[in-house]
Amino acid sequence: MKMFRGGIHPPEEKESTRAKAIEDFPLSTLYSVMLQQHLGGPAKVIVGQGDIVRKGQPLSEPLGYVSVPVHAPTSGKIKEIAKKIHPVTGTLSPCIIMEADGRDEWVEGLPCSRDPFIMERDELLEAIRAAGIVGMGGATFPTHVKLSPPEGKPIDTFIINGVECEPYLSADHRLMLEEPDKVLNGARVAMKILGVDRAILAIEANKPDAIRLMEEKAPPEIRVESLSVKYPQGAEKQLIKAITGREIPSGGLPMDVGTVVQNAGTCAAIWDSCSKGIPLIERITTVTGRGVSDPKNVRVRIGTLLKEVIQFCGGTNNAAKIIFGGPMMGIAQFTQEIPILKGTSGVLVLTEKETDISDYSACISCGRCVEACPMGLLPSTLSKLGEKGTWERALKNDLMDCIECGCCTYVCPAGRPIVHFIKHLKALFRTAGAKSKGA
Amino acid sequence: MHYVLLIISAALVNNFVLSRFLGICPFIGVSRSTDTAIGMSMAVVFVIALASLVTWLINHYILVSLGLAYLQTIVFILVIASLVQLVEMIIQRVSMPLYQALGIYLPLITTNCAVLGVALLNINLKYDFLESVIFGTGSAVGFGLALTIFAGMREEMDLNEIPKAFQGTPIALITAGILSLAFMGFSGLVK
Amino acid sequence: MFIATLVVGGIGAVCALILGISLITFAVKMDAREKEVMDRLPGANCGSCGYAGCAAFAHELTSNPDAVMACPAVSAEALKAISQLLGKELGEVSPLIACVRCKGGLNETASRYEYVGPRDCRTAQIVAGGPKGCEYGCLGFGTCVAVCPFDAMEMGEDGLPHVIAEKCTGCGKCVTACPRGIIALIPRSANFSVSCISKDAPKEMKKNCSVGCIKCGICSDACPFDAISVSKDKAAEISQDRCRKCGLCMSACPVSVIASLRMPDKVRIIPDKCKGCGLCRQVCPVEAISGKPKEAYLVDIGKCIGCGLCIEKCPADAIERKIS
Repeated sequence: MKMFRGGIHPPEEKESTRAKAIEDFPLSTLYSVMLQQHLGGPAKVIVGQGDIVRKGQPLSEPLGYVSVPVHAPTSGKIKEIAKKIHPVTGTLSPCIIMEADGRDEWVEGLPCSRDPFIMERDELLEAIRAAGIVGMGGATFPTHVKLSPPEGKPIDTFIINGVECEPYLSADHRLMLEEPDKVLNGARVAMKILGVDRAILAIEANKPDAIRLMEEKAPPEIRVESLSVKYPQGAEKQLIKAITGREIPSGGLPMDVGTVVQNAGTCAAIWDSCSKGIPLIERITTVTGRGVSDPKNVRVRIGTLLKEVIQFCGGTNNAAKIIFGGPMMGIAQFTQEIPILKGTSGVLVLTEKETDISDYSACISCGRCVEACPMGLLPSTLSKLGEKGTWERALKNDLMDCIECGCCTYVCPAGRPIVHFIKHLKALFRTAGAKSKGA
Repeated sequence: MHYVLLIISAALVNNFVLSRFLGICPFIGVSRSTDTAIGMSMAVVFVIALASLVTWLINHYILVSLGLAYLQTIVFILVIASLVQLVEMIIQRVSMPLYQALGIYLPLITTNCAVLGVALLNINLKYDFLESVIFGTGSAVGFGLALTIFAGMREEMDLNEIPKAFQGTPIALITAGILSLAFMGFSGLVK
Repeated sequence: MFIATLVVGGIGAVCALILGISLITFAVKMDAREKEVMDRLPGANCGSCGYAGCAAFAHELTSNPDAVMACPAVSAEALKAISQLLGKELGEVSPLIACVRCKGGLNETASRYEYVGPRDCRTAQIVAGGPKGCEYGCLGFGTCVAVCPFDAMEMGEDGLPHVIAEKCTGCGKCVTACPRGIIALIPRSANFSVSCISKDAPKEMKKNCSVGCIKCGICSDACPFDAISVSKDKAAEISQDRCRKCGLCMSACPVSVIASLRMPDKVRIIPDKCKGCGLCRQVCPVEAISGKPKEAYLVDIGKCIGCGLCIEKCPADAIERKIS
């Protein structure tokens, strides 16, 4: 089986949700749509307090190319444009709060019906952009930008990321089992946009049912590839290396080696937006962990409050920590008054036993982190530099190549929070960079 | 082949710093950073290579033929001191930051027992002209190698949490001792 | 013996000749004063002057004829010596001191969550914006104390950093280190500062901290010199250049959020010198001076706020500070 260097084998913890069919989260009364749910430039709010909106209506206008709008998840009235704690940054960010009217009416003209395979490339890209599609694996990079690599970067391979290597998460797994056609059709649309005639659907070997189903259903131009179970197999750079053997140069992107990767959920969203004009207003999220009574895979509208989702899953049970995302790269939350975002692939509610808050000690230079690092860096050195705050020397140690996967922190016998140190160094670098530019 | 073995012997097997324990002063003093270590190594290679050459010639053609072999120490130091002065001037001109970084250790190459040691060993081991130069250069390269390795180790050690009692010179000396043990692995390689 | 001397002398002469030639060929123009200047600088390499360490600044001072003194940590004698060395008058950098603008310590503030990680304010800040309820309050992990090259800060029992005035040189390293911008550099001569920089509405602020600025505006009303301003989304801030150090704002503040470094000395009129012109009474903002024309005036110590306006106004130089 194909491999990448380093990596770890954490316990999968997917038993509680891998066999549960996706449940539709019922319509709620209050939705909080954060303005910034993507990586890239800001967007401007185009609705005001008291406005009546319909489901799928755009609520913001992107300012710039690398930006996408957000849409109303249901019909109702705008309650206020306020500031709420953003689950990713932890700081107060603009948020459009709306009250649902219960009728759940689509905006005029949606959903429409068209054949993406006869649409022009530009039309398709515009549909994707207008629908606010972003990478749903968690990175939330605007999809229309990813599918438009510049002239000098020819693409010959398209990879559908159905790996879902993070423990606990099973959203993509269930999506592939229950809506395989959507994923495959969306992938074919992406292939048409990129102008490639072959694609690979990558699935980790721990999802044999999905592999079998997809092998049956996939058209000849999409090859299903089963990958060995290792974290972070689903990380772009590692995925490309494992499948194609190509290594992305330091500071580079997949398009530098002629490849584009899209998450399976994103492909499904691409299909919805191109064939029916449906914007990104809902996603599948795995709510799991021993701290929640009834773990589920829910199909939930963007903007639903976390506390309602957790209530739907039986409420908390000795919960000590809540994480948006997976246990390796997710972000810890300190309140349930936050909304589900476009990139929320999972919500982990963990008990105290499942978390580790012991203090860390000095680096013993054992080298386990160096062995585990999938990018071939020196996490031990970076952690020591992080303790001192010397970001200049860290840059020389390839600080910016770190994908923050967490393998180093997982294996460290001294319990050092290595990724935290690396994030600290990157923040120092960015502040210093901003200062020198006169910001 | 004989010359290759001579270089290996001078640089690794009988490393001046780690086996013969000569030249410890700049070894500890200039090994705080690899950049200064490399600069110092190049200066030392230059001095020792030239010193081997010049001292051998002076010894063979002037001192021995005039029966003044007992003047070896004085004359060799004279030559070495001049060479070091020359190197100082060159470095000051070529790279002022390196000159400032090396500081007092640059003129201290004069009193470095390793340099005089090479010159005298050439005589004692009865090497001919070519052997002297090769032996001298090989020793100097070995010195530079030890210095650079050690500087790299010290740079890494700087990041670690070293107990207060050991910070600075104590841990450096302990590390030097362990490095010396490592180089003992070469013993017996060349007779 | 003679030959020996000749040989050694001869070799020496040849070496000297070679060195002499090299000296001319490899001559380097170096300013000897540079090392002297560098020796007189503090040597802490704090970078406050804007150069990469004391050596670099010494080089700038000696090589650039227009260079100005930019080191806030240089002592008065060192400054004089450097001025002499370079043969020009180097002015003092107006001395600054660090000021911690937060008094919300462990007992006064609320936390949002239990933080697990390195005990560093900057690493804590990147975890969901920091564990403190108030996003403008001191996180208390002491990064400012750790980076101070002069050991001029120490962490108090209250969970707040305290500046040791005698050691602080105003280099500004703590200012950069604080991820929330709580520390500011103020003139050493300043007396008062507001210990809060919160931009939250008073209701929000009170949820997280019991000692923050409530933006009531009483201090602004009390100030006779228009030196303190406050708005509904900005805590009170003193404009140190207008502040007369009278302390009226501090007395008026209902939540005691204004801190004083020292109280100003009150004044007294020297009876022999006073001509009874009454100018001091006119200019006194608190009506603390009284008297009859052509007779020696008197200062009411109880009312005097030590602003010193009268001292400036008096044409007869008849008012002095009462050193308590």
